[in-house]
Amino acid sequence: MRRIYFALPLLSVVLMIAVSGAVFARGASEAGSDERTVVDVMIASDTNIFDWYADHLKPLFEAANPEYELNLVHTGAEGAGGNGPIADRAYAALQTGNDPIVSYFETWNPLEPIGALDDGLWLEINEDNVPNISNAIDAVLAGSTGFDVPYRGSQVILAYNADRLLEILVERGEVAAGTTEVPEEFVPSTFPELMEWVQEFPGEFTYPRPDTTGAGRNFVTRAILQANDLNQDVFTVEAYAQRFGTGELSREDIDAINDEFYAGAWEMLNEIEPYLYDDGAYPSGAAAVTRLLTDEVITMITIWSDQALQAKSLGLLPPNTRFIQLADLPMVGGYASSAIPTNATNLEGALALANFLLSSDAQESVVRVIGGFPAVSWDTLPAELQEDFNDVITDDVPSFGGVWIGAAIEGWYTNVAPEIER
Amino acid sequence: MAKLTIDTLTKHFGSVVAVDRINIEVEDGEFVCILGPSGCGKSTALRMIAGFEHPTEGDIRIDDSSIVAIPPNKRPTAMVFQKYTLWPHMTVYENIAFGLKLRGTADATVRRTVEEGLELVGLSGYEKRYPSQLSGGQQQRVALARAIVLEPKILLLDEPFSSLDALLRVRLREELKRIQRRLGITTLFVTHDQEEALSLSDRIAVMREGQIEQLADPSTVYARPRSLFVADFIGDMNLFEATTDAEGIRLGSSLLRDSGGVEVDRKVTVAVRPEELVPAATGVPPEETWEIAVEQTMDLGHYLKLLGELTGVGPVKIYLPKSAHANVVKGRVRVTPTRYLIYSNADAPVEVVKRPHVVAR
Amino acid sequence: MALLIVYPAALSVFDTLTATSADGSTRFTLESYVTFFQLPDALPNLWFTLRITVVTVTILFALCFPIAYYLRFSTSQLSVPVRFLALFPMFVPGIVTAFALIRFLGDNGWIENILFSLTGWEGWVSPIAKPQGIVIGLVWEGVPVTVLVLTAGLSQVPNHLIESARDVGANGRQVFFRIIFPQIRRSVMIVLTLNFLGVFGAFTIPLLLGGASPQMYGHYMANRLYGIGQYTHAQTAAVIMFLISAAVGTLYVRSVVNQRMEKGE
Repeated sequence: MRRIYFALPLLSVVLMIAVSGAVFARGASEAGSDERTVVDVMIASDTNIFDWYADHLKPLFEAANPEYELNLVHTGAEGAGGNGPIADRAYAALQTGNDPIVSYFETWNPLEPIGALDDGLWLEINEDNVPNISNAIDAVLAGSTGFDVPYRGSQVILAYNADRLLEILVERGEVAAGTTEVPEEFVPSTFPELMEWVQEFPGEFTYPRPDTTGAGRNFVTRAILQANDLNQDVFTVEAYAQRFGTGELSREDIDAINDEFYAGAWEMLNEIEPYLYDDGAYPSGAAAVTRLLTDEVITMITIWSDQALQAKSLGLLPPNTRFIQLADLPMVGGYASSAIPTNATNLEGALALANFLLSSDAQESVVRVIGGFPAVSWDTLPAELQEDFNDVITDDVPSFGGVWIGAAIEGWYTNVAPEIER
Repeated sequence: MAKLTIDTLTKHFGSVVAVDRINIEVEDGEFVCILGPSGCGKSTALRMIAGFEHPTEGDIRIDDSSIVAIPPNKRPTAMVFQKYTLWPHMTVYENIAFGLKLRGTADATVRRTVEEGLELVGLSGYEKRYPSQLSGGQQQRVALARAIVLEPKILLLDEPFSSLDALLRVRLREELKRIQRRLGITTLFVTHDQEEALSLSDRIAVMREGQIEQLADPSTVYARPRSLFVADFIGDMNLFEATTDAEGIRLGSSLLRDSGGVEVDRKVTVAVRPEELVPAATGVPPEETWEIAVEQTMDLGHYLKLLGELTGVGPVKIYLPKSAHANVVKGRVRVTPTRYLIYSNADAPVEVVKRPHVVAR
Repeated sequence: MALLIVYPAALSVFDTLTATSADGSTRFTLESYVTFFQLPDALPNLWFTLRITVVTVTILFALCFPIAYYLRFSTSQLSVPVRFLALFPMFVPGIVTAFALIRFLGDNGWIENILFSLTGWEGWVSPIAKPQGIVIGLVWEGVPVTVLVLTAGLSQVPNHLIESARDVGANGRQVFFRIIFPQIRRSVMIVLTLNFLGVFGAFTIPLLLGGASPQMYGHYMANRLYGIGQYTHAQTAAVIMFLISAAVGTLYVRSVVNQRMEKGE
């Protein structure tokens, strides 16, 4: 065991060297001879994102920008150590004036490494260097630092099995046998309607525990927003820091937050609990709750949009699965952002890539291939795409400050979960 | 007291025949050894008698009533195993008392019986010891005591001394014999050690490949082994390949005039005990004596052991009285057998005893 | 070893027992334990964890002892597949086990569907989201080690010792209780303590199976740390888990040491 622990850091160092070696070698061989210049792209995300770049985005980008060639490096591969070491290297290179041998970080938070932003490592993004940023919707820009390129998102939505719902309705005599479409009045479109729907169809809906997946957490935060008149301004990072500081949550703070902001939500959630699947056996994790839909145990669940769209395109969901985006205020989501170092080896190429990622072609690919949310307005995308994804389209992706989540989870466990009869 | 009858007892393990239709009658108070090399089926036979294996065929009777259907814990037999015989979590006292208590014997009787048992095996005062505090020999004595306090009709011993060193083995052997004589208990003893068998038994059953080759008293088994296997297995024996012709038995250039009536032109094996080869008297015709080239002489205290070569025939060993050493001249000695056995086929051997006048002293 | 285990453990225990006063000095206090146990779910979760642990350990023993006994004494060909099946869970990661059990025992899972198609019975109540689900998952995970340790313990009882007991008149029950069991007491002790430690600190299975509340302590502690961000409470929970585990671990170490000494090693 001891030997393995010793070997792990060693292994990542070796891999790091190997990765940089590969970059070096390629740079050396092609720098002088080639009419195309290379853009090194560091991808720390899961394999599906890397594959998406390799199979879709790279050909699209290189066709549109023949002067550039993308060199994709999967730093998210097992043992490769992520983008952290690459960012550290870029920061060090900035201070010594060396070539960082990187041009583009597929996902990166420009607030790291500490001090790098102040020292000018990250490029400020504006309409002059990335013209397509003007296409980005307000919800996207609201969460941006201004030094990143948010370009793909996902969001928690509702998914339901329309065939199963129809069966129930036919059984109840609400609709005639042979009806193929669920009448609108039986599909919730707002949060209050959802609360009513749950009680009307006992045992047919559930959401997972908030600490196990965003699909549960963002449903709970949506309930909190509902109980606070949909006022997102209450739950910002700044508002929290002003009131509660930045230290560890104390018992008093948690109680105060729960009393003042969350009590209404707990009331709502407790009210629907007896009507949830298995009287409120809140599943653990996204996979467990998704299974309830795929195995046709229940009719409706909460789910991440990208997982939902991908599962649907892979045929994992029941054939007649539909998605619902709450019309009054959707559930919370988030965007993945790229970052470009100011000392990028190929700054021009990096900017071209950033601009490309916010183009209509790339954004369509975000929706079609990885089931993500576009960062640009749906209006700028092909009409056909809008039709296909009509159920989930929204330009409104609310946010909920991460610091508020801890108290929400604590509050949910003490106020909602324990009332389960065992 | 008790008579044990083993009747066409057979045990198959799958396609392997471990014990093949053996018959033994052990008379009341008799001490019988089953002797054989490892894997000959002797332990399996014993385990069937104790009840740990079920016979494929045949019957086991004690005093003429069959015990085959009786589980081991209800059989009137008691067994001493080769090793791991004592229960390590119990004291010597508890080990011996265990069987008595299971029988519901009163405490006072148990105490007295255990004391007697320990006294019998010479371990009085060891009651409170644990097996791990005893030597190997002491452990086997306790095991013996544990078996005999139950007053079994038949005492079974499965190579009980084989894991002990030679000296201790001899001592325990004598002790066992003494106890068995004193109690008069019918005993069946399994061993691969022929010396042990010869010194302990009233009768020996020599087993080979699941079958009994010979069942007889020790001196008969020694003097007239019924088969070549027994001849070779029991004691030291010189075995010579030979052929018969009109003049007698030819061993290389030597001749044995008396072929005991075996037909001519037969391949035979001549078996001679080392102590039955004696220096030839001067009057014996040279072709009837064997000249041995002595390669090694060992002084074994009360006699000499010579290892040599019978020219043209093969290696030979000879036991000579020390006084006969003068007959070895320049590494050579002429000997002649006083008695030999001729094995010509599967049947019993022909015994030839020579006239005593050939013996030179 | 000391640096990696004893030092951080001691540091955590020290942390939970002290507080920094207003004047900057460190003082001894049980404050963090008091506030921790004032959490509405701290005690119920602890009882729940202990209850699940005791039940699981008991079931594991009751289930695995006959299997180990069979494997030790059977000469039949059947013991090969039985041994394989008993050891199989060892090669399945906990998370796979959890999802396999959900598919198998969950609503609309295989069991329910098979029962329905065979008998038309629709009354299946899945144990997955109930405390029973945790017990089932942990039992499944614990079977291989339990069977291995017990089989090893039983193998150390030579056949001759059992046969000599039969020989002096002991029946099956007497052989078991008077001869075999006293000799494998240590193995039993080891298996009980080992299972206690494994189950008490289990994480993956209680996270994926069972209901939302009450929670097992491993999960509860992680939730305090990652979900809510209460480092002090998480640390206190960790120290409580550590102390309970250490107490049981002592029993384990003593069993192992005794066994070695007895063998004269």
